[in-house]
Amino acid sequence: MSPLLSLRDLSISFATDGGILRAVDRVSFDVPAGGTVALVGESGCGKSVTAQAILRLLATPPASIDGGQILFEGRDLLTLPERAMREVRGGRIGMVFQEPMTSLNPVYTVGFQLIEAIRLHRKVSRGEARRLAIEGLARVGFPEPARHVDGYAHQLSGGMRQRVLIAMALACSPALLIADEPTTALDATVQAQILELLQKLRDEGGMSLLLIAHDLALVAEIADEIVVLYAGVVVERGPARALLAAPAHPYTRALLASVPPRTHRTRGQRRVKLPTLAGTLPDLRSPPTGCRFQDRCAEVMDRCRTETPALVLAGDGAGGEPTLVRCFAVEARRGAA
Amino acid sequence: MSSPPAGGHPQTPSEAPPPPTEDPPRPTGEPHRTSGPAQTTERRGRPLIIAEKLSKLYPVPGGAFGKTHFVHAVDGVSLYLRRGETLGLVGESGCGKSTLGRTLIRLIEPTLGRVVFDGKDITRLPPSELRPLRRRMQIVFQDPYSSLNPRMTVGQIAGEGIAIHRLARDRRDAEARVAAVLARVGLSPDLMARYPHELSGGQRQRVGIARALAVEPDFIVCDEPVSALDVSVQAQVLNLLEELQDDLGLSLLFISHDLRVVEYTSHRVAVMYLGRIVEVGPAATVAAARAHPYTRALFSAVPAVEPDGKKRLVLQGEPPSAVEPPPGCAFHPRCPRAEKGKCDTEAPDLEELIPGSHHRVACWHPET
Repeated sequence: MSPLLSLRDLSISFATDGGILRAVDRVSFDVPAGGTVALVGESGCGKSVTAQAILRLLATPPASIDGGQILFEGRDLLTLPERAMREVRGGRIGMVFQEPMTSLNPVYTVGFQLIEAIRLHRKVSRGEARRLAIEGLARVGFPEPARHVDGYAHQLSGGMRQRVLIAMALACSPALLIADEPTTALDATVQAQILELLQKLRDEGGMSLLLIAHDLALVAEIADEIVVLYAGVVVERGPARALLAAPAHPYTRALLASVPPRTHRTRGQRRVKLPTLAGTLPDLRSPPTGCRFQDRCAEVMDRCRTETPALVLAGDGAGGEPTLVRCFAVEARRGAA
Repeated sequence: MSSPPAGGHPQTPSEAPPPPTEDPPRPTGEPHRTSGPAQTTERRGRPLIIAEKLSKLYPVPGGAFGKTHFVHAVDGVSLYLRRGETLGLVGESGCGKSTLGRTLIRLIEPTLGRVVFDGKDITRLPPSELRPLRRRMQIVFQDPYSSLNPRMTVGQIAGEGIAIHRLARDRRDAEARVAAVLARVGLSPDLMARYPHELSGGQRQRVGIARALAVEPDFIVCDEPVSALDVSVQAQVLNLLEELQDDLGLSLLFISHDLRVVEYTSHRVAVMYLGRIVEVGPAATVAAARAHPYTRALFSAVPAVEPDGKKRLVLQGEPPSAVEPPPGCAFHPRCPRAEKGKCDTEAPDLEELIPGSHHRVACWHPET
């Protein structure tokens, strides 16, 4: 069965004053129907740009899609006419952004904005749309949806606003929901509520979820599949459980190691410090030859500076849960074993 | 807003007993006590900071003829902070943790209660007497993008405090001090002539730390110092703060909404909910006991790479408004253990669970 969404060698660049910046470089991954894929990486890794490209939200110029395909339900979104794309955007694919404070219009009621989203994609009367809006608010956990539908965004907390945005994204029963850091701006207890809600909605509706996040620990519980991006390149990807149990790429390992462990300090005693990554992201206007992670890597070899590693199986592929990794050091270790 | 006399505020419920002062520990009960190099035996004996029943009230106008209400941003908080110690302050947005941090160093004037810094009550100190103490109390802000003046160079930012407090003998000494403090936080002296916009987020936060450190403080309020940073950069800044503390014997108030970071970085942890401390104690004790249901919910919400198999306790609802806090225990509307007729009428005091444990909980039905 073909996946719901399939990115094939997607490359995106931006024209900047300092030259062409290659933000996303031949990124490939699949989102299966009903599955949850997490796209993980730190600022500047290209994860949000990838999400925006899927919905064709990037302004071109300055952005430019240099190559690749975005196959969704059998069609390449990159070649779709804008008219057809409008039906996909907000219809078949819903999107939730990070900033619940600025994503709602302050001068219209919550209901007005929900009804607008519904009627954009469905031929229903205003009355029917209003009924659907109230139903949608109930589904995302509003205790009194009939009252809140006439309220304004400023009357709601951050968590409730994020629920409105999720309701809006789900208004047309999309096949895929893209959530870009949906809980980053929220408090911890509210974060837990929203994650639980997303899981519940995915399970109930048979929807797929593409989760964009910087926090590996956060996606650990909800993702089936994890794709790790570094400097615009997929450095590792695979089933969440296998990848987190045995992270192979030095960058993935460093990311996991910088999460503070559950240890405690004793007064007057120095302890071993957290492992950290030295250096910074390479300048993507003139990326180094070879592996993009070479200057920060503890296992760097001569070969890493001249050749670009390919995505290869991290383990022996046995057990049916292969992870793919882009690293010569891992290849060398496997070859030696 | 001027300070009304202690205890005389109309919004203070008279029937509720005042929260007990968190007793500063006696030196004899402190086997692990170590101190900074320059401390005398006499100074080691008492905490650097003691806050007693500290409150900060903000008036909320109630319309033309309406009665003015007050938001209890900080509501009768008592705590202490020892030398060379990190006290983590954790809670959700709007719980008053930043206000508390700023009130401790009088960036915000307290409404009620008092703060004792190094044996001196600084609550009513006039500006002329406060100024020399200001040098010893510094703050590092969350957002390294907006907390640095974009028109000042890194060197000017780090050197401003040195000039204000006249710490340098001459210009050359001032420059040497700036170079030294930048080196101390891991920044190359080449960056001195750069402007903040030329730096990465992690570098900017190091400049913020250098600014605080330049005047050789004893106490730094770190207000969400790593929240705006990427995970790998966050680890660098946490390491830096810990190293500075180990070397210089600094006392740190580490404010964060991220329990994972607070638990790792703090010797003691205080959990705040709607202006009050609901649980406080050694980090290991609080993490193991999670005696207050709110503490339990916060720990439960921490994302884990290896879920520990415990059932996640997802709290219903959201923090209530501080303008009209619920009666009784402010947490009772969201609390799975709330008892009708008790928790919704009487506010529990912050009390030691086991005498002598320094672990205090404000709850009628703590988890045991």
